[in-house]
Amino acid sequence: MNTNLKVALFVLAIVGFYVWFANSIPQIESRPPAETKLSVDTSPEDLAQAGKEIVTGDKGGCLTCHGLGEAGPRAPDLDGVGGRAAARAPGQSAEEYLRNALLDPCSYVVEGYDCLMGGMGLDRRLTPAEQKAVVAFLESLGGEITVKITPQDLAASSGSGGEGGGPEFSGTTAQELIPQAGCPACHTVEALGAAGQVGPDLSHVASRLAADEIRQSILDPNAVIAQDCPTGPCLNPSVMPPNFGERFTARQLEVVVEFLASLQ
Amino acid sequence: MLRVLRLSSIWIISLAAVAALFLTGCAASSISGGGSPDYRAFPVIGSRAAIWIAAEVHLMFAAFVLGVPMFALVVEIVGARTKPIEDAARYDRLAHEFTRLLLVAFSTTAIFGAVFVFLLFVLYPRFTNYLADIFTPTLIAYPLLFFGEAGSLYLYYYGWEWLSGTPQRKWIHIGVGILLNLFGTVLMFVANAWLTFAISPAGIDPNTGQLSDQYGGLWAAINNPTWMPINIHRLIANVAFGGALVGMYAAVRFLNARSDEERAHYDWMGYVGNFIALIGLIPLPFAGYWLGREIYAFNQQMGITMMGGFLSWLWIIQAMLIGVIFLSANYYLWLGLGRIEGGQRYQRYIKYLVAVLALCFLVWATPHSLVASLAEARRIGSTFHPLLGILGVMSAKNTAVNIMILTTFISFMLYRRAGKETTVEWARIGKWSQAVMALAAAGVVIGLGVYGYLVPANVRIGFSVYQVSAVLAVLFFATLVDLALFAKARSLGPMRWGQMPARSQYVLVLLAVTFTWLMGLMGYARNAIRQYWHVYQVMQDTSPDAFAPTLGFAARMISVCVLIFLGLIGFIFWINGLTERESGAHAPAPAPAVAAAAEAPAAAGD
Repeated sequence: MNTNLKVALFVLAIVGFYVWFANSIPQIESRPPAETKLSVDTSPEDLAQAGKEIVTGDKGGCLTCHGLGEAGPRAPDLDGVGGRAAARAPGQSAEEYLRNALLDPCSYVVEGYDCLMGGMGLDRRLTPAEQKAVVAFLESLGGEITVKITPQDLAASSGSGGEGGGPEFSGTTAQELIPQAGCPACHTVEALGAAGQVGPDLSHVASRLAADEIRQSILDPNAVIAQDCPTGPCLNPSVMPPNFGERFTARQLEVVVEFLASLQ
Repeated sequence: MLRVLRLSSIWIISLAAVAALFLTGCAASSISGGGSPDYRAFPVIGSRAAIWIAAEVHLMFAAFVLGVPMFALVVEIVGARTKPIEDAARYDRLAHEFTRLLLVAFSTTAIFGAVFVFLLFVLYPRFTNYLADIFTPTLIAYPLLFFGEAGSLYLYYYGWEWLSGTPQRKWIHIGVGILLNLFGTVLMFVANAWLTFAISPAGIDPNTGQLSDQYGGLWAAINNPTWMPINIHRLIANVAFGGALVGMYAAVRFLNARSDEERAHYDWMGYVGNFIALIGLIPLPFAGYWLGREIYAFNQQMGITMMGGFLSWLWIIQAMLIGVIFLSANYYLWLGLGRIEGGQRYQRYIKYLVAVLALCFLVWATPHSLVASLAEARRIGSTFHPLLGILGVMSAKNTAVNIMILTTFISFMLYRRAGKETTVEWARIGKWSQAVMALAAAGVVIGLGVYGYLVPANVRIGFSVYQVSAVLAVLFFATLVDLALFAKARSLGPMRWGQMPARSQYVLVLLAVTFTWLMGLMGYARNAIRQYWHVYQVMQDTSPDAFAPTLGFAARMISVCVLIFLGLIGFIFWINGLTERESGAHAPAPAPAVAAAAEAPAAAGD
């Protein structure tokens, strides 16, 4: 046989073997997540079902790390989390805890695990309505479903998800974001010329709170109530909106936290 | 005819560069113009397959035209430093022979590059416009760099005779070769910025997706987290790839050789090609780990998708391919012992080396996280196999790959000294020191590998640095000792170039095909980790092809690309053969009479 022909057949045999090998192992396609249809009339059970599809499907991809009914390879078993959630963070209801842990996972890492969810960007990957669906599913795992879809969720969802319809605030610096978020109305921040008198003075907040504590106070204003406000004892419970975790993007939140943590 | 072909290649390259400039202008205008569809469909085979083939074949040729000049330059420098003049001429002619191959390959690379760019603009206008908007300055610089590379290549090849004769002129020519490689490397770095930005975008405002000085701007977009790891990984891989293809060319010529001289020449050429491929191969896993670490640091979820998600089985294929490369590269060296007088002394060690390589290969190919349904996982007991799961973790795999590299190094050391006998008084101490170094490194690698099971993951990750350092230290210091040991060694007889069994040449073909296929597989991995994003978490793919296909489909696509590439390379080799016949340069340079490695021959009888 001609030498060149032999070499050509040899090459074909090698390539053929590699194709055969690659086709002999499990074949998995990574499909993009389907849009989840939700409305204010969606029943709690349907909401939980929609959340289940997100959690167990590619859209959430949660079971890559979490287990469901057994310990996950890298993250805790989600089974029963609805029952445990209320006791996980003092002052937070199950719904609040689950939502906060979803959007700011590194602040709620279960002991014995590392924070692997930090870069997931679920605030960008999931619409607000889908986030609530996930919370509903997690609540259903051993707890009661309390979360509901609101018209505001749907309005926010119609422009977000996927390529992101844009978060509520458009700034990229703390100087832009803090006024947009309305913080100066209640807080004094000398560096920004803000002189609010309702909440604690933040001019030197870093001298009494670490970055994690500042983040926690933004995400969950009732977690720890400050003692002294400019006009007397601080209000308990806090009147600060508890939804900045949804309104800021993760990066915006970090920009604000970083800025406040620099105010010694 | 060939002169016409070469001249026409200049026009093709110029046309491709002008087309790229034109398209850059189109991109800039269409961004403001708007109104174009997001996607268009390619007939029959679909957009995915069309863009895949154009991109992959272009990348393979690009690797060839970047890798071979590195190979040619190294060989030319070796020649310039070699004495006597007959040996120097041999290296010089080898380098020249390969530069000739580049001329046709270069125009083919440009053609596929132009096809790729055209397809991008036609099939994916929204994505391409977005990238053009982010990287406008680099898109303008790129064709100019391309002209620079073309100019330096032509000067390098056509100036070969002109810039020879005196050492000064030769070193000027080598300077042109360095310039050629610099242009090529910068071109690759620029193109890498575009592709790595899609994986790990940086420098942009997350709200608008546009460049923002607040986030570092254009430089941050270029110097994104995966840019430099991929630059280094590709640079090294191109060296290995160039060497492997040179080996394949030599193998085919060896098998077709009609005289002993020809056979000896191509045997020597194949050896040099394989040697350079091995040199490139050894640091590649380390560069790969660096890239993997940066991906994890950029986005844990992306890292997990890559290693533990739907792509986890890809690494089993990769392990199989790298196992084939290591085993066949070693096998080629072992066969080579047969053509060296004195090589028989070391053949008894081969069975142990085979056993170690096979064991390491099996460990490396053991999957860790099986992608299984919940029901399957419950039947197994967990997502880890109860027995084999323990071998699938990085502790075991890092250990295996380091031992494989160490074993390959030992094979090379045996080959290197096969035809020589050291004459230094401290020979015994020297050899023992090398053995102790190798055993100590193996001890560190295995010890840390076992200890890795007993510590948390964040501690364990740090162990790989010590394992790699131990192996690299042995590679460096044992080579130093070896150079001193055999600097004035006594030759045991002439190297019998050309006396290699035919199967050794098929091993070289196997190496080249496997390298090429592996390159295609890694291209798939690099793109599939973005899943359904054009630009990860910035621009979603909303086309009908917005999914990562199965490994089986990917394997078929990769194979099509490999066969197109090898078919065209075969055509280029054939064209090169015609050149030889036209110029009467078919008589091959004689192979060195005595050499136990690609270096200056040992001083006989010292």
